[in-house]
Amino acid sequence: MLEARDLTKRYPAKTAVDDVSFTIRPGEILGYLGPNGSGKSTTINMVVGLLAPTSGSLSLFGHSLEQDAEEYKRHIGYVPEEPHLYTHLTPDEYLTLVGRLRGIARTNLKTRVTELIRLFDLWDSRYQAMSSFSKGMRQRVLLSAALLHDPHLLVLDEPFSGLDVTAALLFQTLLRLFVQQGRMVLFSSHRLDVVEGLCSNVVILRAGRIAAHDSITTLRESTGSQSLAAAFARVTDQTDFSQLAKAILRTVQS
Amino acid sequence: MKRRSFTIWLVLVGHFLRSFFRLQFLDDAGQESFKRALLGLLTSAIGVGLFLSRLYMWKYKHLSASRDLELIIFADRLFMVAAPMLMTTAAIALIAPSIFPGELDFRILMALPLSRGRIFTAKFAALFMFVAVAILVPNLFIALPLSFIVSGRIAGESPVLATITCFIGGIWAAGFAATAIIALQGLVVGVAPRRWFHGASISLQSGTVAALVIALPFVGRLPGLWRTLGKRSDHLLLLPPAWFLGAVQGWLGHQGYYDPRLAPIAMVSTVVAMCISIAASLAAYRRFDQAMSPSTSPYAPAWWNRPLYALTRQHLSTEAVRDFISVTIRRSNIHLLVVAAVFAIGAALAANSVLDSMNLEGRWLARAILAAPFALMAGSVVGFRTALLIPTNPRAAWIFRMTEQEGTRSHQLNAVRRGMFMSAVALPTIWAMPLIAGEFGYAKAAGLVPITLFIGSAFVEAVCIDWRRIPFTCTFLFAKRPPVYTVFWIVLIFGWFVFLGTSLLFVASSGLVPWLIVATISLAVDLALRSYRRRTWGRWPLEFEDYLPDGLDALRLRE
Repeated sequence: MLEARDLTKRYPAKTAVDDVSFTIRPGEILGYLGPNGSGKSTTINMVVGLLAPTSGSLSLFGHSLEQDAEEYKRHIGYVPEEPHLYTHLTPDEYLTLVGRLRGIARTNLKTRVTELIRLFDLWDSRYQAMSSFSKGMRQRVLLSAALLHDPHLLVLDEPFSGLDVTAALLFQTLLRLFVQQGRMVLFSSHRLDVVEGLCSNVVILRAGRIAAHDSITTLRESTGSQSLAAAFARVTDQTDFSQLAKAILRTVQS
Repeated sequence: MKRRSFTIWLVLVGHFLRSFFRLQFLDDAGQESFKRALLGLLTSAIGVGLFLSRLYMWKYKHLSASRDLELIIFADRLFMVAAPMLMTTAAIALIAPSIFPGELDFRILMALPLSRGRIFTAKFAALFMFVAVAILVPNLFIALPLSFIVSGRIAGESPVLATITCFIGGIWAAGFAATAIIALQGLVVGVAPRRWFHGASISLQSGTVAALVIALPFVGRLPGLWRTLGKRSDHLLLLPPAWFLGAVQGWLGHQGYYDPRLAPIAMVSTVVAMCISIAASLAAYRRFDQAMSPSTSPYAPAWWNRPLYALTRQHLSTEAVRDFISVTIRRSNIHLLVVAAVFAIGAALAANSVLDSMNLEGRWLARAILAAPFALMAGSVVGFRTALLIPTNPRAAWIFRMTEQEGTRSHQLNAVRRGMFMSAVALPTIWAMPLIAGEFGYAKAAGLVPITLFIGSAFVEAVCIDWRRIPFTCTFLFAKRPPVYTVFWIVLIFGWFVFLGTSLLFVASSGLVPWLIVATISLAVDLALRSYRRRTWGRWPLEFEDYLPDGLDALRLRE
């Protein structure tokens, strides 16, 4: 189980995340939503251990990030929002690098890397430097790298960005099977239709604070909305876009 | 409408000009530090010019009555043409891959309502400005003052006219050097198959920079070579700066000390370089839409790699970082460039030292030959270390940060020490051994190999003692300390290491007992440093952010 308690991140100029708490239980995909700048990526960076919280705590299966960071991080697979990877490497080289850093035994690693490259449809490009890859191909490499060490928690920040329809459908099925085995997923995305189809519970952030934390059904009912997108717009006070859209058109047409 | 179009073109020119001074691997703080480093270099050029002027004033005060004055002036003028030419070539070689519009320009600019012609003319206007600065700065601050001091000392020579003539000759020579680099890069972009583009571009740039570094000590020695130059040696025909000095001598009406073939060679070579650069530019213009096609060939693992890797099995973390280092240095322009350039410094020092000692008695020649592996090692170690400090996409380093563990940290860092030892100690030792064998015989040379390796290994241990970075993953700040301070330490370390290593090897070569003593001492020092490093390494977290030294940070000028 992942427990985030009272997470806060303050910078000199602003508070990016303010007193955020949530829990992910085995078998659960938690949707983590919010408009741009609401603190989603900051929270995710704290959850994966890339950013130290100003206050609050994180623990995974009882391993505290503060006291036992190595054990905590060992169980996490991560797909960042932007495909930050070493593009001068080939997928084969990158996955081997990640596998070695994760301490996967030689024989297992070679087999896993080869199979993942084949299954994620990267076989024909396995010796090509990733600098020539499309965003979708890079995303598939990142997903392979996140799964390589068979993690207990997958932290996904916009994982479907750039993926084609087939790959996105495959990955949604994969996530469902993954959590059926008692694993967990923290899923951050702006694709609310996908979140609605995948997640049981959601956390919605607004200006660094939790604006809603509930199951999707309860959220829809409590806001009187037909869809998660409508509920999201209500919770984040983004109901009327027509004025903004008109202002934009006026600006470019003046 | 025309005015608006011209304004857009000027914006493009400004964009291209700024891009020559931008290094993609740096973050914002690194970019700021790079600007500081450039300013430091500019002030250094002015400082060198002032220093040399003072030196020349002193020199010519005591030379006015010399019988060989004309010869000495000829050698000095050759230096005044060669030094700026070298600096201009270095500046253009550093921006060589950006001389022509590339893939990024194609992707971004061709999507805008801009014609290919406008993009190319803007790029060439920016290039012209950059080249003009690269030609003018060294000629104005170094060649012009020196030329003024030297001119007017030969009978019948007008000081002002001679100064202007030399200045024009220097500009011409530097212009030729810039055009030649543009022509070579143009051949790579406009003619070479796209699959070869990356490799050819890296080879050209690294080769040019390495050649320039090797030429540097020779150019510095030109004023002292006046006797040799006075023999009107045909070798001058192989020396590009001499071609242009030949033209200057012709303009000034001096009959002696130059070969009449030099000026025509200067003219022909300039015309050829210009024709090639124009033709290559036209070819690059026509091929611009091919910028989108893949420019790298597949990196399939070589068959011979497998048994080699099986033989060199190490800890998984060491292997991870070792392969990361090896692939990055091979595929990244900037990293290969740094390694090649600093290795060339070592090679230049070694070659210079041996050439200097050719006419000396056996003992000094032997010392110069024994210094060769250490000069190469010093250059390679500094080059390798510097290359490892330069980041490649620091934002991708999250994977190293997420997987950092106390238990594997020292294994990861160990890849740095091993890589440095293999490429900066073992390889230079192997390369220098034929030279040593030529002087001392094969048996003795083989006996000196272990001592050379022990000393080199101890040097690597000393260099790695406070190393806390996975190569290429930490942000980088240029010019953290004043350039003079950095240069002073590098020269001191270079000098001491080469001197100490050579002395120890010289003593070891004198007999079995000295060999045993030196071998024991060098091995003991190596082991002691290694033991200290093992105790301290891996205790502290890895570094992923570069900081200014405390002394500078304390000023807090940015707050």
